[in-house]
Amino acid sequence: MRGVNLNLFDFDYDLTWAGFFLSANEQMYGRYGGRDASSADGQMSLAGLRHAMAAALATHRRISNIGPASPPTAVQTVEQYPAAQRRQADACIHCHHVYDFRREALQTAAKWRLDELWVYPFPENVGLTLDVDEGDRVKSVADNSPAAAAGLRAGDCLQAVNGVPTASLADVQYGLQRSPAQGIIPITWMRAGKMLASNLDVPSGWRKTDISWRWSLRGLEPSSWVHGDDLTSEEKKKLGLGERQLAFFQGNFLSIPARQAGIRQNDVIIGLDGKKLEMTAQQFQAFVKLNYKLGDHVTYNLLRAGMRLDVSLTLIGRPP
Amino acid sequence: MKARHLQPGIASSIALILAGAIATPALGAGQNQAHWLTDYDQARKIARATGKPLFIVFRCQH
Repeated sequence: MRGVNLNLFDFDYDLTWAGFFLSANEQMYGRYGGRDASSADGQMSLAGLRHAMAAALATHRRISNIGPASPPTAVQTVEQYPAAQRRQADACIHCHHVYDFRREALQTAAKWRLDELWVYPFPENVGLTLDVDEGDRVKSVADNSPAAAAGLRAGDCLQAVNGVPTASLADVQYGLQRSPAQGIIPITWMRAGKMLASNLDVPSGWRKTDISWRWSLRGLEPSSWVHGDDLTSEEKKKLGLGERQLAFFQGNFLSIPARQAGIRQNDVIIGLDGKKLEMTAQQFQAFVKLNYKLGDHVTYNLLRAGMRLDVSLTLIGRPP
Repeated sequence: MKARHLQPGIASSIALILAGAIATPALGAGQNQAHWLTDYDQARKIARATGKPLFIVFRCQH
Protein backbone atom coordinates (compact mmCIF):
# COMPACT_ATOMS: atom_id res chain seq x y z
CA MET A 1 0.00 0.00 0.00
CA ARG A 2 3.02 2.27 -0.09
CA GLY A 3 2.34 5.44 -2.07
CA VAL A 4 -1.37 4.73 -2.51
CA ASN A 5 -3.61 7.76 -1.98
CA LEU A 6 -5.91 6.54 0.78
CA ASN A 7 -8.30 9.42 0.23
CA LEU A 8 -8.91 8.22 -3.31
CA PHE A 9 -8.64 4.48 -2.78
CA ASP A 10 -10.73 4.51 0.34
CA PHE A 11 -12.01 0.98 0.83
CA ASP A 12 -12.38 -1.86 3.27
CA TYR A 13 -8.73 -2.62 3.84
CA ASP A 14 -9.43 -6.08 5.26
CA LEU A 15 -10.68 -7.30 1.89
CA THR A 16 -8.77 -9.92 -0.06
CA TRP A 17 -9.71 -8.30 -3.34
CA ALA A 18 -11.03 -4.85 -4.21
CA GLY A 19 -11.54 -3.21 -7.60
CA PHE A 20 -12.11 0.39 -8.71
CA PHE A 21 -13.34 1.99 -11.90
CA LEU A 22 -12.23 5.57 -12.44
CA SER A 23 -11.22 8.10 -15.03
CA ALA A 24 -7.69 9.17 -15.84
CA ASN A 25 -8.56 12.32 -13.89
CA GLU A 26 -9.31 10.16 -10.86
CA GLN A 27 -13.03 10.60 -10.88
CA MET A 28 -14.40 7.51 -9.22
CA TYR A 29 -17.10 5.70 -11.21
CA GLY A 30 -17.63 2.67 -9.03
CA ARG A 31 -16.22 -0.16 -6.95
CA TYR A 32 -16.32 -3.90 -6.90
CA GLY A 33 -15.54 -6.45 -4.19
CA GLY A 34 -16.66 -7.40 -0.72
CA ARG A 35 -16.68 -10.35 1.58
CA ASP A 36 -18.26 -11.64 4.76
CA ALA A 37 -17.31 -14.01 7.56
CA SER A 38 -18.27 -17.12 5.60
CA SER A 39 -15.77 -16.79 2.73
CA ALA A 40 -13.34 -14.40 1.05
CA ASP A 41 -15.03 -14.46 -2.35
CA GLY A 42 -18.59 -15.69 -1.92
CA GLN A 43 -19.90 -12.19 -2.55
CA MET A 44 -18.17 -11.88 -5.92
CA SER A 45 -18.80 -13.34 -9.36
CA LEU A 46 -17.66 -12.66 -12.92
CA ALA A 47 -21.23 -11.69 -13.82
CA GLY A 48 -21.30 -9.25 -10.91
CA LEU A 49 -18.02 -7.71 -12.01
CA ARG A 50 -19.28 -7.40 -15.58
CA HIS A 51 -22.43 -5.69 -14.30
CA ALA A 52 -20.41 -3.16 -12.29
CA MET A 53 -18.07 -2.60 -15.24
CA ALA A 54 -20.97 -1.89 -17.58
CA ALA A 55 -22.30 0.72 -15.17
CA ALA A 56 -18.83 2.29 -14.87
CA LEU A 57 -18.47 2.44 -18.64
CA ALA A 58 -21.87 4.09 -18.98
CA THR A 59 -20.85 6.69 -16.42
CA HIS A 60 -17.52 7.21 -18.18
CA ARG A 61 -19.22 7.86 -21.52
CA ARG A 62 -21.66 10.26 -19.92
CA ILE A 63 -19.02 12.13 -17.90
CA SER A 64 -16.65 12.35 -20.87
CA ASN A 65 -19.35 14.24 -22.73
CA ILE A 66 -19.92 16.66 -19.89
CA GLY A 67 -16.45 17.93 -19.10
CA PRO A 68 -13.50 17.63 -16.74
CA ALA A 69 -13.57 15.66 -13.52
CA SER A 70 -13.88 17.08 -10.04
CA PRO A 71 -10.76 18.59 -8.41
CA PRO A 72 -8.15 16.08 -7.26
CA THR A 73 -8.38 14.76 -3.73
CA ALA A 74 -5.79 15.65 -1.11
CA VAL A 75 -3.19 12.94 -0.87
CA GLN A 76 -2.89 10.84 2.25
CA THR A 77 -0.63 7.80 2.25
CA VAL A 78 -0.03 5.02 4.71
CA GLU A 79 3.53 6.27 5.21
CA GLN A 80 2.10 9.22 7.12
CA TYR A 81 1.18 6.96 10.05
CA PRO A 82 3.87 6.65 12.76
CA ALA A 83 3.54 2.86 12.79
CA ALA A 84 4.44 2.80 9.08
CA GLN A 85 7.43 5.05 9.66
CA ARG A 86 8.82 2.57 12.20
CA ARG A 87 8.88 -0.21 9.63
CA GLN A 88 11.90 -0.89 7.45
CA ALA A 89 11.79 1.09 4.23
CA ASP A 90 11.49 -2.05 2.11
CA ALA A 91 9.02 -3.87 4.35
CA CYS A 92 5.68 -4.69 2.77
CA ILE A 93 2.66 -2.77 3.96
CA HIS A 94 -0.47 -4.78 3.36
CA CYS A 95 -3.97 -3.42 2.99
CA HIS A 96 -5.03 -4.44 6.51
CA HIS A 97 -2.08 -2.52 7.95
CA VAL A 98 -3.95 0.68 7.11
CA TYR A 99 -6.51 -0.24 9.78
CA ASP A 100 -3.77 -1.33 12.20
CA PHE A 101 -1.80 1.87 11.75
CA ARG A 102 -4.88 4.08 11.88
CA ARG A 103 -6.01 2.40 15.10
CA GLU A 104 -2.62 2.90 16.69
CA ALA A 105 -2.63 6.58 15.73
CA LEU A 106 -6.11 7.06 17.20
CA GLN A 107 -5.21 5.13 20.36
CA THR A 108 -2.12 7.28 20.83
CA ALA A 109 -4.32 10.37 20.54
CA ALA A 110 -6.85 8.81 22.95
CA LYS A 111 -9.47 9.07 20.21
CA TRP A 112 -10.01 5.43 19.41
CA ARG A 113 -13.37 3.85 20.25
CA LEU A 114 -14.53 0.29 19.88
CA ASP A 115 -17.13 1.52 17.40
CA GLU A 116 -14.28 2.13 14.94
CA LEU A 117 -14.35 -1.62 14.28
CA TRP A 118 -17.79 -1.61 12.68
CA VAL A 119 -16.65 -0.63 9.22
CA TYR A 120 -18.33 -1.23 5.87
CA PRO A 121 -21.67 -2.56 7.12
CA PHE A 122 -23.41 -5.15 5.01
CA PRO A 123 -26.69 -4.34 3.25
CA GLU A 124 -28.13 -7.12 5.43
CA ASN A 125 -27.61 -4.78 8.37
CA VAL A 126 -30.44 -2.64 7.02
CA GLY A 127 -32.45 -5.65 5.85
CA LEU A 128 -31.30 -5.91 2.22
CA THR A 129 -29.85 -8.96 0.52
CA LEU A 130 -28.42 -8.18 -2.90
CA ASP A 131 -27.94 -10.37 -5.95
CA VAL A 132 -24.29 -11.45 -6.25
CA ASP A 133 -24.47 -11.37 -10.07
CA GLU A 134 -26.19 -7.98 -10.18
CA GLY A 135 -25.01 -6.07 -7.16
CA ASP A 136 -27.65 -3.33 -7.24
CA ARG A 137 -30.58 -5.75 -7.50
CA VAL A 138 -32.52 -6.46 -4.30
CA LYS A 139 -32.81 -10.20 -3.84
CA SER A 140 -34.83 -10.07 -0.64
CA VAL A 141 -35.92 -7.71 2.10
CA ALA A 142 -36.02 -8.81 5.72
CA ASP A 143 -39.29 -8.37 7.56
CA ASN A 144 -39.43 -5.52 10.08
CA SER A 145 -36.13 -4.08 8.83
CA PRO A 146 -35.26 -0.47 7.97
CA ALA A 147 -35.36 -1.47 4.27
CA ALA A 148 -38.84 -2.95 4.63
CA ALA A 149 -40.04 0.16 6.47
CA ALA A 150 -38.62 2.31 3.66
CA GLY A 151 -40.73 0.40 1.14
CA LEU A 152 -38.09 -1.62 -0.66
CA ARG A 153 -39.04 -4.92 -2.25
CA ALA A 154 -37.33 -7.87 -3.91
CA GLY A 155 -36.51 -7.04 -7.53
CA ASP A 156 -35.95 -3.33 -6.93
CA CYS A 157 -32.78 -1.88 -8.47
CA LEU A 158 -30.84 0.37 -6.11
CA GLN A 159 -29.71 3.68 -7.59
CA ALA A 160 -27.95 5.34 -4.67
CA VAL A 161 -27.32 4.79 -0.97
CA ASN A 162 -26.50 7.85 1.10
CA GLY A 163 -25.83 9.71 -2.14
CA VAL A 164 -23.39 7.12 -3.51
CA PRO A 165 -24.42 5.75 -6.94
CA THR A 166 -24.71 1.98 -6.72
CA ALA A 167 -23.96 -0.82 -9.17
CA SER A 168 -22.36 -3.30 -6.80
CA LEU A 169 -22.20 -4.52 -3.23
CA ALA A 170 -19.00 -2.49 -2.82
CA ASP A 171 -20.84 0.69 -3.82
CA VAL A 172 -23.64 -0.03 -1.36
CA GLN A 173 -21.17 -0.74 1.43
CA TYR A 174 -19.29 2.46 0.58
CA GLY A 175 -22.52 4.42 1.00
CA LEU A 176 -23.37 2.64 4.23
CA GLN A 177 -19.86 3.21 5.58
CA ARG A 178 -20.45 6.96 5.35
CA SER A 179 -23.81 6.77 7.08
CA PRO A 180 -24.52 7.84 10.66
CA ALA A 181 -24.30 5.58 13.70
CA GLN A 182 -28.02 6.13 14.13
CA GLY A 183 -30.67 7.99 12.14
CA ILE A 184 -31.52 8.49 8.50
CA ILE A 185 -29.85 7.12 5.37
CA PRO A 186 -31.28 8.35 2.04
CA ILE A 187 -31.87 5.62 -0.51
CA THR A 188 -33.21 5.65 -4.08
CA TRP A 189 -34.20 2.79 -6.33
CA MET A 190 -35.94 1.93 -9.58
CA ARG A 191 -39.08 -0.18 -9.81
CA ALA A 192 -40.87 -0.82 -13.10
CA GLY A 193 -39.12 2.14 -14.72
CA LYS A 194 -40.04 4.53 -11.95
CA MET A 195 -37.54 6.19 -9.61
CA LEU A 196 -38.46 5.91 -5.94
CA ALA A 197 -36.83 7.46 -2.89
CA SER A 198 -37.09 7.05 0.84
CA ASN A 199 -34.99 6.90 4.00
CA LEU A 200 -33.59 4.01 5.96
CA ASP A 201 -34.17 4.76 9.63
CA VAL A 202 -31.37 2.86 11.36
CA PRO A 203 -31.21 2.24 15.11
CA SER A 204 -28.18 2.50 17.34
CA GLY A 205 -25.83 -0.44 16.78
CA TRP A 206 -27.06 -1.10 13.23
CA ARG A 207 -23.48 -1.36 11.94
CA LYS A 208 -22.57 -4.34 14.13
CA THR A 209 -21.91 -7.63 12.40
CA ASP A 210 -19.58 -10.62 12.49
CA ILE A 211 -16.11 -9.14 12.10
CA SER A 212 -14.20 -12.20 13.26
CA TRP A 213 -12.78 -12.71 9.72
CA ARG A 214 -11.00 -9.38 9.72
CA TRP A 215 -7.22 -9.69 9.68
CA SER A 216 -6.81 -6.27 11.28
CA LEU A 217 -8.67 -7.54 14.33
CA ARG A 218 -5.69 -9.70 15.21
CA GLY A 219 -3.70 -6.70 16.35
CA LEU A 220 -6.40 -5.57 18.77
CA GLU A 221 -5.89 -6.43 22.42
CA PRO A 222 -6.64 -8.25 24.58
CA SER A 223 -5.68 -11.59 23.14
CA SER A 224 -7.51 -14.60 24.52
CA TRP A 225 -4.16 -16.44 24.72
CA VAL A 226 -5.91 -19.68 23.72
CA HIS A 227 -6.13 -20.77 20.11
CA GLY A 228 -7.05 -23.88 18.20
CA ASP A 229 -9.39 -25.68 15.86
CA ASP A 230 -13.11 -26.19 16.34
CA LEU A 231 -14.35 -29.63 17.26
CA THR A 232 -16.35 -31.34 14.55
CA SER A 233 -20.05 -31.92 15.01
CA GLU A 234 -19.32 -35.57 15.75
CA GLU A 235 -16.72 -34.70 18.37
CA LYS A 236 -19.13 -32.30 20.05
CA LYS A 237 -21.85 -34.91 20.05
CA LYS A 238 -19.59 -37.44 21.75
CA LEU A 239 -18.87 -34.93 24.50
CA GLY A 240 -22.54 -34.09 24.92
CA LEU A 241 -22.10 -30.58 23.57
CA GLY A 242 -24.57 -28.70 21.42
CA GLU A 243 -24.01 -28.33 17.68
CA ARG A 244 -23.39 -24.58 17.88
CA GLN A 245 -21.72 -24.46 21.27
CA LEU A 246 -18.22 -23.06 21.49
CA ALA A 247 -15.77 -25.94 21.61
CA PHE A 248 -12.23 -25.86 20.31
CA PHE A 249 -9.06 -27.75 21.06
CA GLN A 250 -6.18 -25.77 22.47
CA GLY A 251 -3.60 -26.28 19.72
CA ASN A 252 -0.03 -27.40 20.06
CA PHE A 253 1.25 -23.84 20.24
CA LEU A 254 0.57 -23.00 23.87
CA SER A 255 1.03 -19.34 24.79
CA ILE A 256 3.05 -18.55 27.90
CA PRO A 257 0.05 -17.02 29.77
CA ALA A 258 -2.07 -20.08 28.96
CA ARG A 259 0.65 -22.50 30.02
CA GLN A 260 1.26 -20.60 33.26
CA ALA A 261 -2.47 -20.67 33.95
CA GLY A 262 -2.45 -24.45 33.63
CA ILE A 263 -4.07 -24.86 30.24
CA ARG A 264 -2.70 -27.79 28.26
CA GLN A 265 -2.59 -28.82 24.65
CA ASN A 266 -5.82 -30.56 23.57
CA ASP A 267 -7.87 -29.07 26.39
CA VAL A 268 -11.29 -28.27 24.96
CA ILE A 269 -12.34 -24.67 25.61
CA ILE A 270 -16.12 -24.63 25.99
CA GLY A 271 -16.88 -21.39 27.77
CA LEU A 272 -15.70 -18.22 29.42
CA ASP A 273 -16.70 -16.98 32.87
CA GLY A 274 -19.44 -19.57 32.99
CA LYS A 275 -21.08 -18.26 29.82
CA LYS A 276 -22.30 -20.90 27.43
CA LEU A 277 -21.29 -19.38 24.12
CA GLU A 278 -22.58 -20.33 20.69
CA MET A 279 -19.81 -19.44 18.27
CA THR A 280 -16.76 -20.72 16.44
CA ALA A 281 -13.17 -20.52 17.66
CA GLN A 282 -12.56 -17.62 15.28
CA GLN A 283 -15.60 -15.77 16.56
CA PHE A 284 -14.43 -16.44 20.10
CA GLN A 285 -11.22 -14.50 19.44
CA ALA A 286 -13.30 -11.52 18.34
CA PHE A 287 -15.66 -11.99 21.31
CA VAL A 288 -12.80 -11.62 23.79
CA LYS A 289 -11.44 -8.53 22.04
CA LEU A 290 -14.85 -6.87 21.93
CA ASN A 291 -16.01 -7.70 25.44
CA TYR A 292 -12.91 -7.69 27.64
CA LYS A 293 -10.12 -5.29 28.47
CA LEU A 294 -6.42 -5.70 29.08
CA GLY A 295 -5.85 -6.82 32.64
CA ASP A 296 -9.24 -8.49 33.03
CA HIS A 297 -9.21 -11.75 34.98
CA VAL A 298 -11.17 -14.45 33.21
CA THR A 299 -12.07 -18.05 33.88
CA TYR A 300 -11.88 -20.49 31.02
CA ASN A 301 -14.31 -23.39 31.24
CA LEU A 302 -12.78 -26.43 29.64
CA LEU A 303 -12.87 -30.16 29.28
CA ARG A 304 -9.79 -32.32 29.87
CA ALA A 305 -10.12 -36.06 29.35
CA GLY A 306 -13.85 -35.68 29.75
CA MET A 307 -13.56 -33.81 33.07
CA ARG A 308 -14.88 -30.29 33.47
CA LEU A 309 -12.27 -27.76 34.73
CA ASP A 310 -12.13 -24.03 35.34
CA VAL A 311 -8.84 -22.21 34.78
CA SER A 312 -8.17 -18.58 35.68
CA LEU A 313 -6.08 -16.38 33.44
CA THR A 314 -5.25 -12.69 33.25
CA LEU A 315 -5.59 -11.07 29.84
CA ILE A 316 -2.19 -9.43 29.76
CA GLY A 317 -0.84 -7.46 26.81
CA ARG A 318 1.54 -8.73 24.22
CA PRO A 319 5.21 -7.89 24.73
CA PRO A 320 6.28 -4.82 22.70
CA MET B 1 -16.94 -18.37 -9.40
CA LYS B 2 -13.81 -17.68 -7.41
CA ALA B 3 -12.19 -14.29 -7.12
CA ARG B 4 -8.97 -15.57 -8.62
CA HIS B 5 -10.78 -16.01 -11.92
CA LEU B 6 -11.09 -12.27 -12.04
CA GLN B 7 -7.34 -11.73 -11.98
CA PRO B 8 -5.65 -12.66 -15.24
CA GLY B 9 -1.97 -11.82 -15.27
CA ILE B 10 -1.93 -11.14 -11.59
CA ALA B 11 1.43 -10.18 -10.15
CA SER B 12 2.71 -10.06 -6.61
CA SER B 13 2.19 -6.32 -6.41
CA ILE B 14 -0.57 -5.12 -4.15
CA ALA B 15 -1.89 -2.50 -6.55
CA LEU B 16 -2.69 -3.89 -9.95
CA ILE B 17 -3.91 -1.67 -12.70
CA LEU B 18 -5.64 -2.63 -15.87
CA ALA B 19 -5.69 0.38 -18.13
CA GLY B 20 -7.55 0.68 -21.37
CA ALA B 21 -8.94 -2.82 -21.30
CA ILE B 22 -12.04 -2.27 -19.28
CA ALA B 23 -14.19 -3.00 -22.30
CA THR B 24 -12.46 -6.30 -23.02
CA PRO B 25 -15.38 -8.71 -23.28
CA ALA B 26 -13.59 -11.82 -22.04
CA LEU B 27 -10.82 -11.15 -19.58
CA GLY B 28 -8.06 -13.70 -19.90
CA ALA B 29 -9.64 -15.49 -22.83
CA GLY B 30 -7.33 -16.20 -25.74
CA GLN B 31 -6.41 -13.13 -27.77
CA ASN B 32 -8.37 -10.95 -25.39
CA GLN B 33 -5.82 -11.70 -22.69
CA ALA B 34 -5.71 -8.64 -20.48
CA HIS B 35 -2.44 -6.81 -20.06
CA TRP B 36 -2.00 -5.67 -16.50
CA LEU B 37 0.10 -2.70 -15.57
CA THR B 38 1.61 -2.10 -12.16
CA ASP B 39 2.64 1.52 -12.67
CA TYR B 40 -0.26 3.78 -11.76
CA ASP B 41 1.09 6.91 -13.43
CA GLN B 42 1.76 5.01 -16.66
CA ALA B 43 -1.74 3.57 -16.55
CA ARG B 44 -3.22 7.04 -16.15
CA LYS B 45 -1.24 8.29 -19.15
CA ILE B 46 -2.51 5.43 -21.29
CA ALA B 47 -6.06 5.95 -20.09
CA ARG B 48 -5.84 9.64 -20.85
CA ALA B 49 -4.39 9.01 -24.31
CA THR B 50 -6.96 6.39 -25.22
CA GLY B 51 -9.94 8.00 -23.50
CA LYS B 52 -10.68 4.81 -21.65
CA PRO B 53 -11.32 4.41 -17.93
CA LEU B 54 -9.07 2.64 -15.46
CA PHE B 55 -9.81 -0.59 -13.67
CA ILE B 56 -7.63 -0.89 -10.61
CA VAL B 57 -7.35 -3.93 -8.40
CA PHE B 58 -5.94 -4.25 -4.91
CA ARG B 59 -5.23 -7.75 -3.78
CA CYS B 60 -4.01 -8.86 -0.39
CA GLN B 61 -2.96 -12.34 0.62
CA HIS B 62 -5.16 -12.44 3.72
